[in-house]
Amino acid sequence: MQPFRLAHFISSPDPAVQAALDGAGPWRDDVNAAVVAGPEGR
Amino acid sequence: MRSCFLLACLVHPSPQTKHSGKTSLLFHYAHTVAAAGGRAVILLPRPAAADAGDHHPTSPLSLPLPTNPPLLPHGAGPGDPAWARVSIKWVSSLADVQAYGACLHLLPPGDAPDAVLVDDVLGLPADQPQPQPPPGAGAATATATAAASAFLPPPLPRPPTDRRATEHALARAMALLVDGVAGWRGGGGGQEQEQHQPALQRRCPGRLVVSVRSRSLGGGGSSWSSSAAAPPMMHLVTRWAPLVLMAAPGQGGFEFGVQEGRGGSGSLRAVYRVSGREGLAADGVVA
Repeated sequence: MQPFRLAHFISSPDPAVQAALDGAGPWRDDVNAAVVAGPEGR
Repeated sequence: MRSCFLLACLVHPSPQTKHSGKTSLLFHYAHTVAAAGGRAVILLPRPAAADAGDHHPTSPLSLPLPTNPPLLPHGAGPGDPAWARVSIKWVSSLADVQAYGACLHLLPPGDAPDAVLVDDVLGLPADQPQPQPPPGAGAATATATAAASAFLPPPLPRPPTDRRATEHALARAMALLVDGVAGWRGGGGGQEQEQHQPALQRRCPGRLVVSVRSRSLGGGGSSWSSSAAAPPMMHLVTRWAPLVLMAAPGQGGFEFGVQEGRGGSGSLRAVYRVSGREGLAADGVVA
């Protein structure tokens, strides 16, 4: 499953900024795993 | 395994700028879901003006348009067909949110939203606001009430509207929302629903997003610590939230990213301004 991106909430006309928003997940992998698992998985 | 999640979007209004783009961020997320083929429902606080002087519940179509509409996402105009899959539900209180969350599991798979967004959940009262009498009817109503009160039993006490009642209402609303979304997503909707979910999860794994308006930081500074300006009752929201996103005044506008202590250490933050006519767009990123 894809990690969450800031691009889900905001975008940019600047291609470089948009690439950063679309790029690597801005949060840690363990938090992203907790998001995927949901409250019961924490 | 349930895969429901919640993002709490904590927003600090800037002392210099009254609006922080909280609702615009929610609309951007709703558009992201809709552009991926999903459906999004945004629960918005009913405009207070719509309730004043009106004894009858109004339909959303009869409500006046908000005087401060949200900024559209960059590149998404009003004619974008994705907006057809974004619905708005007006709520007047946390009781309305509870009712919506309690009925989510009743929706057929084709009508169930792929994302539920609640704007300014801490700004909602616990119960329904009391209707106001129409202008000019106050004297007659008072006279009639006084005459009838001699023959009527004492009125039942109204539900308490103190903080404790609001906390209970908020806790119930959050639990019902999370359970309603998780119940729909976790199964029980039939084979069609199960076939529908994986594709949406790949494209936009979003479900429940709640925005919270924080107290002003009072100085214009940005704070990404976890409890610097957390509003009261915030713990009742973050109890369900694996992620807490925060928008706070920063360099050149607002900074939006993951709150420290919630996986945001060293992460990117988007910088944006709430102005202009080109919609809500990020000007840059900071680490």
